[in-house]
Amino acid sequence: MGDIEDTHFETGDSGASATFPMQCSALRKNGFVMLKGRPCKIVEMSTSKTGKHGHAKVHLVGIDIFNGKKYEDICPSTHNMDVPHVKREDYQLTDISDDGYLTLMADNGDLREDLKIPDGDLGTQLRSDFDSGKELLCTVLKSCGEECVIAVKANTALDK
Amino acid sequence: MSDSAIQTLEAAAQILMAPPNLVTPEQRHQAESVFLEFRTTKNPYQLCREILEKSTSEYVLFEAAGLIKAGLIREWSLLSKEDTSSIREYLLNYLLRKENPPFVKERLLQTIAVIIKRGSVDDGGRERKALLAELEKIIISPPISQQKLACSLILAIMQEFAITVKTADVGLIWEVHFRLKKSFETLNLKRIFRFAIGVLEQIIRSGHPPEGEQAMLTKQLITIIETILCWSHVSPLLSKRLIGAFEAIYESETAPALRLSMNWRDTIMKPELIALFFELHIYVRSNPELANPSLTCLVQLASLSGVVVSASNLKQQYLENYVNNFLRMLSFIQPNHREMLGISEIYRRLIQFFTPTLIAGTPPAFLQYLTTYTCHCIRGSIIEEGLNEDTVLREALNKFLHTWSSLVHDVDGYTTETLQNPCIEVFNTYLQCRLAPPDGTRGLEAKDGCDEDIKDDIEEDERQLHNEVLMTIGAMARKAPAHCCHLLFTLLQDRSKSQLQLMHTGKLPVSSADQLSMLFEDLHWILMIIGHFLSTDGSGEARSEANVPSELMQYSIRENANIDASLRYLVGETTTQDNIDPILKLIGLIIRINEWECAALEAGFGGVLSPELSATVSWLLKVWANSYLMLDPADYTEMSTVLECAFRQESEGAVWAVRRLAKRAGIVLKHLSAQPVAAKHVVQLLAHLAYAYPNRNQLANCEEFVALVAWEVSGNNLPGDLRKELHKVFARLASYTEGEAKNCLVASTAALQQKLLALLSVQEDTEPVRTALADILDCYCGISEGMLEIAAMDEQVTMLYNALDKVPAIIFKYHNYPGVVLPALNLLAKSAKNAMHCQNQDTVNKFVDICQTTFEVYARWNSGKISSIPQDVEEEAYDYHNYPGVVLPALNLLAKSAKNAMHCQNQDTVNKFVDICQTTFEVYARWNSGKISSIPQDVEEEAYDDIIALMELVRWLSCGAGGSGRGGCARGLRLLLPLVTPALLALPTLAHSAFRLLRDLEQADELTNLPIQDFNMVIAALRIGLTAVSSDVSTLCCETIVGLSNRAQTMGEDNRYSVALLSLAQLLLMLILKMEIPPDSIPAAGAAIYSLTCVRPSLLEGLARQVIEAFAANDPANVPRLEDAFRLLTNGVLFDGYRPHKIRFQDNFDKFLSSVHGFLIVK
Repeated sequence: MGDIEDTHFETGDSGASATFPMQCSALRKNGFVMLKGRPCKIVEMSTSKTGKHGHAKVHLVGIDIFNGKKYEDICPSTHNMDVPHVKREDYQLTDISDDGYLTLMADNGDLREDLKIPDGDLGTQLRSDFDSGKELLCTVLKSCGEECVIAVKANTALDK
Repeated sequence: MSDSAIQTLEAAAQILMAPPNLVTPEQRHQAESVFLEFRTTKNPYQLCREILEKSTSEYVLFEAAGLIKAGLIREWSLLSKEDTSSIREYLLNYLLRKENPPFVKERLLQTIAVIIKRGSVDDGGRERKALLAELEKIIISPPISQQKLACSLILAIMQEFAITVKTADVGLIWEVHFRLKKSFETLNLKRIFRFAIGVLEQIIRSGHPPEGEQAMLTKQLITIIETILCWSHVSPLLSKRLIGAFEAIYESETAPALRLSMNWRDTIMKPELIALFFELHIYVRSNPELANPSLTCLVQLASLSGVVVSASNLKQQYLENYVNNFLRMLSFIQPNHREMLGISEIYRRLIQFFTPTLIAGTPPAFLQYLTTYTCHCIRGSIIEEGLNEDTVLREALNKFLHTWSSLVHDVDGYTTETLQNPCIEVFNTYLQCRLAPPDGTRGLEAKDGCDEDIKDDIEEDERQLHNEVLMTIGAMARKAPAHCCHLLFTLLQDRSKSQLQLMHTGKLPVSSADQLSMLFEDLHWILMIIGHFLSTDGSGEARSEANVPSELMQYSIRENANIDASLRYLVGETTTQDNIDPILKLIGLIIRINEWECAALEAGFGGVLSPELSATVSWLLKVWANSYLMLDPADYTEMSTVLECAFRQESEGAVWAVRRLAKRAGIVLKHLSAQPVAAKHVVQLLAHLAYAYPNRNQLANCEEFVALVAWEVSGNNLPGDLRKELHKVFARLASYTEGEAKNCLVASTAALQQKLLALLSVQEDTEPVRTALADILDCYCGISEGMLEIAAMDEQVTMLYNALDKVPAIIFKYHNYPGVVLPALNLLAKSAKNAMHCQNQDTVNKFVDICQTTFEVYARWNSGKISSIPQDVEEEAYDYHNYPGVVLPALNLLAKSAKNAMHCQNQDTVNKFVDICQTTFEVYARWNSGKISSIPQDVEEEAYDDIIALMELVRWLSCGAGGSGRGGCARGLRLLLPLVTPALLALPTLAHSAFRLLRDLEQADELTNLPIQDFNMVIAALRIGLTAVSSDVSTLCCETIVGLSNRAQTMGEDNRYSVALLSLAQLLLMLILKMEIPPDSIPAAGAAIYSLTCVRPSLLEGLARQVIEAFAANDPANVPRLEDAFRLLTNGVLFDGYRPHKIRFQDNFDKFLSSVHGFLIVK
């Protein structure tokens, strides 16, 4: 990493670049990287060489953070790769509309109603928990202009 | 009746053998049950005879053969001598006249062998002797099919007698097996040997080539001889366990040495015998099937030892004769690859079993052939490397080098003068094979014209891969130091002159990538060989005191070079080579190569240099530094003045060298940090310099190192793991040094701390911030690992604690990002050991506080969390979903701190720790209970690492003094016990840990202190564990039962805990009777039955009655035998728990099992 204090970070929120470059060898397992144009979490990193006296290449395996699909790529270790800006924010669930949109409240009290109930088991669980009156905290994952709820937990925090 | 029975069986066999699409599962199931029933037929001999005569179905014949054997074992005591003899005669007769498929034949032969073995118990081997005589008669005259059959039967009999410990199903106890083996050895083995040799001699003399049927017969005869020569002659004085170990060797690939008793002397010492074996090999060598066993015979004969050659003149006689015949054979043949392997093994064994003096007395040809063949294998094995196929020659080479290694190290064997020329020859050959033309032959011999002479798909580290071979090559080179040192110097100088200098001056020929990599490969090998020549330790990590090999030390003394000139040459002030110490000359050149590489890197040639070669240079410098740097004359009996002046502690030369190496580290890290192999080795070099000389460290004081520290602190592009390693080195050095040097190192940590604080104050939560944070946490992890111990709160420790203090806040802020949470928890886990060991109670408390806060934060964010990634995507996705990657270090942290925390003197700390654990268990339970049942079985066991960590934690909680951890322990058990389901047994590691936990908790007296409902869960778990297939789990269960019984004895048999425990007895006994307990756990199971009976003395009697009653309904005829067996079991045993009675019960128990299993069990 460069010098932190001197760098201006793009937050990736408003029209700014959704990614930033990073030298391939400095990527970390469990970190993020763009593979085949998709934001992925790195689950495997290994190196190989082009010939015995050649230079290292990094073999990356990543999982799409939104849909769980697996992608792979290979890149010389000295080259740069794009790293997506990823955000996960927690919202309190206050309502579910008839057409399946969630009403979510952020820490600062702002409301948003632009996210749908997630598909699959998580969505089912979310709805049944909400219907049974549990107070729920939704984790919203946001990256490269995509956004969705990826986790739900009963809100046990007393003061949030 | 029997005809219809045969038809039924044949129809069923047809169904079983049919392809799956033609029969339904029900039909198959039915057919199986037909055979299951068939196998339990009582007195089946007549029926089986008819089947053997009439049936044409091979499967039915096979089953019939099996039934005869099983029936004989089961009903042996009910059969008369005449019955068994007639069965045996019938079977032999049947085999002689009827041709059968091999698998039926094998089974029938084995059946005859079993009859012979069981018969030997009663008649002292008379029948066996008669049968063997009969077989000999058959073997000496045609027809050849009968001769072969007789040989097979001899082999089957030998097999039956050879193994004692593992022969479990013949219905004899081990002592009898062993007695029979010994009797067979004394009475029959030698006779069989002489007979087979006699027949083989006739075959050789007949002059017919070994072809067709004749070859098959010859093969069987050789196999008989081979079996005898590999026979494990075990001393009866050894214990059963040791004998079992011996017999396991016997079954493995390399046979044990040939140890013969006195009565073999007349046979084995006959000179003609050995000659015959070599003749035999020449006779059969063209046929690989015969050549392999005949080579094994020669190998075995090369290891003759034991009382038969106890007198040294006998050994000498035998060796002379053997070697003469061996050399004669070698002069006749051009060994093929397989033979090369055999020959290398013969050499290895001769060197191993005969004294160096005797070996040195052999004819010169012995050493000549060894040299020639070694060179041959070197060439061949390098070709093999390129082909990726067979490794026969490589194996042979390893054996030859093993032999050489002994020869060059044995002081009372060959003289150095004798060994010098052979060593030079081998060394030159190796070097040639590794170098490109014109000096060497690399790539010339590669087949199919491919020019891929440099292997590139190597997984392992090159320097480790060739370590063993190079170690011996290096040792051989030191036998001729003048030649080898000069040669290595010349080659290296030539290579380095030619092109590295070109690169240095910027005149690199651009179009010569191939030529460059040839050059790199040459340098790589020359440097690896130099490393092994200069030092005996190729890892560069051994910390012995005198590391400069004595041959080189003497060589340097002999050369008596000019000290001043040598030193000037070393540091590059002169290039004249007159009167320079040869070792120093070589070292000087290596250091110059280092400088050229550094210069090239700084000039921007990093892109064309080889990272692999850079790694080799770093490795060589480390190996060299380990042996030569900071020489201490006190470690050596003799010392070369030149070497002493150059590298003695605090000499200018040593300081100069350290500075060069530190500079190298800085440059390589700067320019090759993206090349893992180069970076790894240069960090290892640096770590070596930091760790190796705690009291006389020069590294921290040199400006090159200070610059490296400053560079790391100022921010760079290094990957996180490298930065972590660097900080580990810095922290370790800081704990060694004082003053100015220390300040510089501590300042590096201070800078890190500044950065951490800056990052934590950044408001925006962005990916670059998170990555930087994770990197810094990793650096702290390195610091924590590098610190030797936390003795006092010095500056460095304070800063570490400041960082640890931030962990809860970091986890709070970044709880949604495992990429940060994981390194944070990792840092805590890595610091736990040091922190909990600290003498200072405040420090310990502080650490425990941090942990507690961390867990609270962690629990708050993670309990009850459900995530959306579907479970079935991928295993990785599963990881991701549940974050075990994060949970695991957290649990590991607790488990690792547990040992120290629980042993802490301060009761408050212990209590606090137990509290933390309790909370953790609650949190964990909330989102993980029922985990095993909900996860598909095919997931790897690693997915359960968190459970294993939990188990370890519970175990440590049980160690708390005065039961202080009891509450936590019970809570943890309540969490874990529901996981013990039959499904658990399919996961061996996890099952083992679970039951070991129970056993350990029992020993800590935790189990009987549990509430009764929890105790019942323990009993239920044991019930499951007893049915395990693996012997370690069932043994652990039995041991737990023994322990519990001992406690129950004091509680009384009517106590609720005792009653629950005793409910296990019936299950255990039934498992034993049905042989469903793994054989290795039988002794433990016996002990468990005994101790359970001690709790309630009437227990065994009651159980016996139940068994007998159940049995009477099915098989009334055998009831008296069963009653007898039970009576003998308790005969003379008191159930008082005292040792003599325990032992007597164990003896009775063994006998009980062998008698009962015979008739009770149909497997």
